[in-house]
Amino acid sequence: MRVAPIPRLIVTRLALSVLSLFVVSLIVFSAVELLPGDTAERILGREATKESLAALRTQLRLSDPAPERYARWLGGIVQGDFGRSLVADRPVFSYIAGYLGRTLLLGGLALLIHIPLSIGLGLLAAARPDGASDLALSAAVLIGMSIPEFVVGIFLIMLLANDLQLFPPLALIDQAKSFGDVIHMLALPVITLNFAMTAYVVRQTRNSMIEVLKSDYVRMASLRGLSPLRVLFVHALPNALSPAINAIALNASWLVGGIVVVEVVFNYPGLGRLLVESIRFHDVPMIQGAALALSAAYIAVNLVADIATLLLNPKLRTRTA
Amino acid sequence: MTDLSVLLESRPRPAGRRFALQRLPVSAKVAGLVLLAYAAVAMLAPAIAPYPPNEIFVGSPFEPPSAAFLLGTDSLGRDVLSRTIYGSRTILLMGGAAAGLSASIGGLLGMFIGYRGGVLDEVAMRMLEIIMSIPSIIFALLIVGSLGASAPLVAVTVGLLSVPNVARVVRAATQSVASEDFITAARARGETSLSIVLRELLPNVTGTLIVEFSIRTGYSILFIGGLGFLGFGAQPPTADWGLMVNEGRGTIDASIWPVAAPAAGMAMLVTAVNLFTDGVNRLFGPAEQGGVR
Amino acid sequence: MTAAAHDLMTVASLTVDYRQQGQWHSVIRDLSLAVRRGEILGLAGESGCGKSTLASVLLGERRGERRLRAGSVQFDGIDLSTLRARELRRLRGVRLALVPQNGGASLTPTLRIGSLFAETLRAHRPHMNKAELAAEARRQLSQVGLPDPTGALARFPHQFSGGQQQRIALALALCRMPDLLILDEPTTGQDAMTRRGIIDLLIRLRLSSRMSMLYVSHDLATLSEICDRIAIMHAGEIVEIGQMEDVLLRPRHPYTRALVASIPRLEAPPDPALLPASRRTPERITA
Repeated sequence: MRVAPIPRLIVTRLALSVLSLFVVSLIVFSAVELLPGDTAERILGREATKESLAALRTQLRLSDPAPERYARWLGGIVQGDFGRSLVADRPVFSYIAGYLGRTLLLGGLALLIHIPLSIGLGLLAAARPDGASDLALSAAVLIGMSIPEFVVGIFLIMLLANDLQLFPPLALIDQAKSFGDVIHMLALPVITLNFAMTAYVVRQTRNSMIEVLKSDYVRMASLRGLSPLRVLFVHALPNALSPAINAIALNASWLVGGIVVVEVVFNYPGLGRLLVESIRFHDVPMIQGAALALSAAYIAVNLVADIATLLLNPKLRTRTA
Repeated sequence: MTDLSVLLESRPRPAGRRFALQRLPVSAKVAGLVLLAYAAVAMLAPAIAPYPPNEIFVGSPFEPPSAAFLLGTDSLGRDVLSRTIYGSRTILLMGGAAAGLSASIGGLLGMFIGYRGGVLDEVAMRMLEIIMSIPSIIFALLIVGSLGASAPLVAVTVGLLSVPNVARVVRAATQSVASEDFITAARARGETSLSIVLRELLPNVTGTLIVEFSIRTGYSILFIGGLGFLGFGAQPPTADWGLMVNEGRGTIDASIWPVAAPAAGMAMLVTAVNLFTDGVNRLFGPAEQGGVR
Repeated sequence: MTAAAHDLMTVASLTVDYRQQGQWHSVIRDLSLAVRRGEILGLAGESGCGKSTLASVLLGERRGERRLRAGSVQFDGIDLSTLRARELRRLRGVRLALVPQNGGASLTPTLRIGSLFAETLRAHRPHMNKAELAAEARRQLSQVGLPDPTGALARFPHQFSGGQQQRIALALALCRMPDLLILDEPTTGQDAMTRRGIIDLLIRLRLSSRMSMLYVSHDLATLSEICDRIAIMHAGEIVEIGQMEDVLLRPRHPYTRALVASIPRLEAPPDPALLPASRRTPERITA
């Protein structure tokens, strides 16, 4: 088996990420080219005269070939110039930062709950394979995974917000006054996101923990007279985690997509909802900015997850003798 | 080593594959029956549904369930039951088409690069990796948003976005078969690559393809439902479950049925697909191919 | 009762059942056996005869799908089946140790060799400091003939060859100088060099210490090299037990005869010059 050293692997992944971002920018640029009309018409609206349209087109150099315009656009982005929003008439960049921050906050909180919850449930299921708790858990997580997040969200709102009045139905985070408010407002979206993510990690943790508990090294650890806690947490758990970490990494990237729908359900002012609304309004610079920022977040999450998986695997961390 | 029998060797025919369905776990069999029921409802929708899906009963919005409207009516006075029944057509057609598209294109691509190997494989894998490192939902929103949402476009987009996932898995399955004697024999007989892929490899990765198709069906249904909910799926007045949930959620206090019916339909459908996937995965999954059990 | 003074481990009328599909099946039937102090007892038999189950029971392992239906297992006068987990733990590693068949798989992949030794030593002697732990681990590793013991402590199990992993597993089992060492096919699947090294080490150990060993193997040729006595196990029972040469030269049970007849003749007998003087001459064994 040929194993490359970690730094090289990381550099490769990093290069791949930059390449992915570049491809995303190409896709984002070409996709909006497909929208009906051109930028001048969108800026000036329906009542624009032919003369004013022509003037603006010359000013914006819209008749230049597409590759040239792409290069100019990308050049601007690299310098932080995402253009001006057509709807809000403000620089896109000033918008994106705040929205990205809120999306990361929601996603981060969801992950923060997700990691201990799903691993814990997985270990619980592994404690007595095919026991009552194991079967009940498998059934519950399978159903949780099968219900679309928009359905989960709406029913959580109905039940916990409207009927029981435990949480606010909408995550209007701008009105939060304290950190407690933030948690209170984000509870439902976070629960919704966890519904879909839990199943996979629980199953991976369960299966790999069951395997590991049957392994020779766990048996030998207890035959060497080590304490059960040490056997469990030092010998079994770290070795069972690798598939769970892979699954969490997949979930973290799923989160970037899942968050779009959840943001819309809870009216949460994040990048996902921003993207959806800008597409509705054909607000091209905003679409480009939001799509790029969201993709960058996704790619970054993947990169971090990849590197984390690498670092946690001693077989990859060290070269074979 | 000029053993002629090698040249005549044909691909192994795995015994018992024909009866594979009988060996499915009970849960998967039940799920299969549920899926058949869904298909029957979708096909017979015009016969089963009490009313046409878009018929508006003026003056009766938000009717509670009654003998006339078993699940009540929605905000426009349309029969929720009929719309839910017709909605199964939309989602099964779109989800099935998307999964079929990704399984067939991804399957062919995976077999081809897995069989040819070399530089082609290396380059193709890198490209697939890059495509997979872009979030599908953004991809889909951009494409559907730019070209204008419609059911066929959404199905094709969702299907194409899953091609890399299928191709990767099928490639791996192909690689484990490609080095076997009957492939060497076929090559020695002078069969073309295309013929080898279709006649020799395909029968041996069928199990993998079935599992992938099943996985992609569940995934596509959820994805398409989500897009429909966001308003980027089938357009009004189509009876589409995602769209129905979106239309009904603002008035959920007036009546829960316009949301609950399609939501339940969706949840049960995906649960059945997932259970079925679990079953076929146990039959044809890597464990079986690796000969573990 | 004088026997008990000689015997370190005594198994009396032991019957062990396994549960399979809701039904209990006996894998060990009415088995009696004693490992004497300071001896190497060989336990031979084909795979599936219950050897590994017996080894596991002797280590006091308990499993849900297994039960001791009858009989007792006593280690130095202590009934293992009645011990509480905590008391059992105090025996394990210290007085009772196992060398597994697959040494590589018995080393936790995420831990460095140094940590494996440190935790094993520390489990029973919590006051040892880092330097003492490392020195002790180095001593054990050089005893089993591992090259560069100092460097080895900082490495992970997968960075060693299969033979080296087996030596490390052996060193780990020996690091507290147990009273009874149970070896479960320790040389099966190893290359000739490793096998030779392990067997020589065991012979040396036996001469220099009073350690008792139970050597479980299906390989009579290996057993004949190091064991004082041998027990032949077949279908969950001991069909014959006695001095090595008695059993090999004058097998009484038909199964033993078949087993002895199947010792590969192609393998040259060990060179008498290499054997310690205390060992009997190989001619007598394979004659």
